Amino acid sequence: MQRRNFLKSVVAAAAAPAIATRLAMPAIAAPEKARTLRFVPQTDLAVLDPIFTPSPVTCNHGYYVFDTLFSSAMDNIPKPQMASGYTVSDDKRTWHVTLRDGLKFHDGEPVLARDCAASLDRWTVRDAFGQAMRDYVDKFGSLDDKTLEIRLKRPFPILLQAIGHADAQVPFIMPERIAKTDPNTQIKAADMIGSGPYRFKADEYQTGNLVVYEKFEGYVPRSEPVDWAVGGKIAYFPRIEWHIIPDDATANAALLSGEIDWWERPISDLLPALEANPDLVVERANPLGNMGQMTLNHFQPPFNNLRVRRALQMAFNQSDSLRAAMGNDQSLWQVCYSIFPCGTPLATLDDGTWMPHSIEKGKQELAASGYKGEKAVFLNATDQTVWRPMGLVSVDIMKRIGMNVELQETDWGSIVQRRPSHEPVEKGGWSAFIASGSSTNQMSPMTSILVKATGAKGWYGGWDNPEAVRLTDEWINATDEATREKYGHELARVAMSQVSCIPLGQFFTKWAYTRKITGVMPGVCPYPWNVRPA
Amino acid sequence: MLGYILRRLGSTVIVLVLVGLFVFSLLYIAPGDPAAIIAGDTATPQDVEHIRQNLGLDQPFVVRFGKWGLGVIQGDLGRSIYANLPVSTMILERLQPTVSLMVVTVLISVLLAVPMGVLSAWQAGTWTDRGVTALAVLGFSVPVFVVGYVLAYAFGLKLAWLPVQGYAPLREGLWPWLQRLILPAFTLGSVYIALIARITRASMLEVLQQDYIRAARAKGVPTIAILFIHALKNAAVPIVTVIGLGVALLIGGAVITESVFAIPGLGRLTVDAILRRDYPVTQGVVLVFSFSYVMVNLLVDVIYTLVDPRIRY
Repeated sequence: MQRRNFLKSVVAAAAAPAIATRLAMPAIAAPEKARTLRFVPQTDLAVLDPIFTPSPVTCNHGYYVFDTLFSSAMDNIPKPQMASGYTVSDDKRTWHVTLRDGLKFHDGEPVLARDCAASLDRWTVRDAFGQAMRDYVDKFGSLDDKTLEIRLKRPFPILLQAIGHADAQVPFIMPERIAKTDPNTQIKAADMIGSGPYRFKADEYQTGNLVVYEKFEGYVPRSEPVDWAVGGKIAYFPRIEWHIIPDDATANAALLSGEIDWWERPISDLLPALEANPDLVVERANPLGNMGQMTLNHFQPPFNNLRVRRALQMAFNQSDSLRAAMGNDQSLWQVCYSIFPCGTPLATLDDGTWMPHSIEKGKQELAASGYKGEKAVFLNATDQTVWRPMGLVSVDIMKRIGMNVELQETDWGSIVQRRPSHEPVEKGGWSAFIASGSSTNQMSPMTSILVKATGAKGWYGGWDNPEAVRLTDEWINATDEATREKYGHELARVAMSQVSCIPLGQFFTKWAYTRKITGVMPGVCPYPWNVRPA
Repeated sequence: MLGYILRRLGSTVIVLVLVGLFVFSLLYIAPGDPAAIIAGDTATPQDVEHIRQNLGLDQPFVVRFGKWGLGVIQGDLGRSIYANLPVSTMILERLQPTVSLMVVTVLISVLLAVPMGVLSAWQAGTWTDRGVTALAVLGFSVPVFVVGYVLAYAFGLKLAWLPVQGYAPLREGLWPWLQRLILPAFTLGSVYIALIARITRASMLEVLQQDYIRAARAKGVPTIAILFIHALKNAAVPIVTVIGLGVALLIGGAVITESVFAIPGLGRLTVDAILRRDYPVTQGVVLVFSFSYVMVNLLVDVIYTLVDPRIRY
């Protein structure tokens, strides 16, 4: 018996009678339970340090505990958060950022400028955007206790975008003594001290089971309305518990029985039943979703041949791939024949020139490419529920246009180990694999892996394109938004025509929560602020 | 007896050394790079290498094994690559849920299965016997996760008698602790109950054929006494063996049940550690399992001597 099919039938049978049972019973909530928000995260919080790892669940945890100088919402415009304002010198090489009054860490110490300097210094070592910024920075320092000073070697017009970017390795601010930890060493649980709206309860932390946060009474929210991680982050629940529930059916049952309040990532199979439940709200988590891509190995045949890459790109049908991964519910996916995600400022839709999704055109292009049947090895991650079907569709398309392809299925950890290889497939190398990233990350040339064009120093496929590198530099150094956007679109067109990788469209996750809570906001993270009992 | 126990303890050390070497070697050659997983997709090769160095993963096999082995001798199982916590702390955290689940499972299983097997043997060939046999077949055949989901649906969702997930430590109270273990214990015990019931039945059938049983009946000894005092005691050796083997397997074999009911036990810890390539945790947990398995087997051998005075070592 297939576990997944059994799971669906049990859940479907459970939904209606469960509702009746719950409605029939008086909702006697203990006062303690009403003051606690019980949340099921997408996966276990294995690593706590949000600078050490870009894991999304760690980033989410980071938002509870830490705060940022600036942040961005869906418009990607950085706004002050811990900062009250900033000034830039006439030569654009010195930035002064002033902190708001009353900012405190969870241990009661005031937040000082030198804490921010040390935190940014640590962040720029590990984050992609930060690493790019680091090339421009001469020194992170402080003018006084409330004024951070960033001295640059040369102007960096997108500095606020860098320190205000909202996803992956966010530049969270930590106490200086903790921020001085080697960025390649993880901070300990006992040192999870931030200035965010919730404090981490290290004494109640149980790895793989329970993470507990307590409202930080010393937090001073901004006065503006909140939008993603910008504005007034008001914490309502005194206590938040993350319950790690690895099994989807169990998490589903826990939500239906009232044992949890909010489930971050129900699998798509369960969504119809959840959406039919009048006691629950099911909605898109991040309006921009995630962007999939097929990474191609530019170092080795067959994809070191531009026309072979084009052949596959021309044949690729995003609808087939997305439908295989996410099902027929089109609120969970959308085609986006663009290098940058649709709905973002740099989205540059292909007009059918490069991605006509035609097997015939793919075959013709392959025939014209000089392809001699070189074997392609497709690595497919069996433990990734979205990527695996996309990989299977990709292999099918490759075969249909006439490629010689071998599918090698393994777990993601093994793929991570193999992908740095530049060896031919006969020596354990690879030709293609599927990955994805948050659209919020993929919307910027600084953080999008689809446009990294520095060959062996870039993303694993090794796309090497000096023109793309030049356009990225122009984008960074542009002095106005219109010019910056122009370079961004140019970069997108180059990446598409030269097939840096193959964009697979966008897919969305939904979260589900009980109507006993309200104030849940979409964004890159399940933000704990604004959420309160209904 | 003491000499026997000491000899067995001595051989335990050898077993643990071999197990440690085996699992260490297996993890060393297995594909996967935890440093790359931690570093993330946008990390540079230099970042990954730094992390690898900080975690000591760049060192040769002999050095790594030597350091780890020395640590184990001193009671230090290392630190988790991901959680940055001592492995021994993580194992101890997970021990109570697993041991709790194991104890409740064994108790429920033995209390249900042994009488079922005795009843089945006593009523051999009748509908009662067939009924017990059918239940045992179901217990063997139905996948554990199906049993878990059905029990959770029926008693958790439909009847709302019991919680569907989670674990409450004993310090929160006996009932909170027990109520979260009932469904998982029945789930995990479904195969165990079937196995014990069948072995009990087979063993009892053999004993009930004996002359002394016939003599006891002839003397007018009550049936309950014949079954549970005279017969069961003599049938106990294979039953105890199966219970013992089952206990040892339960220690590490509750992965599915722990996942279905979100119990933070050793089974889940092991699977998570393997998937993440958290080598120190995997090594530590395997050693603990091996040690437990050997100790349980020793305990079973000692129990034999209590059950059957003829057995001496």
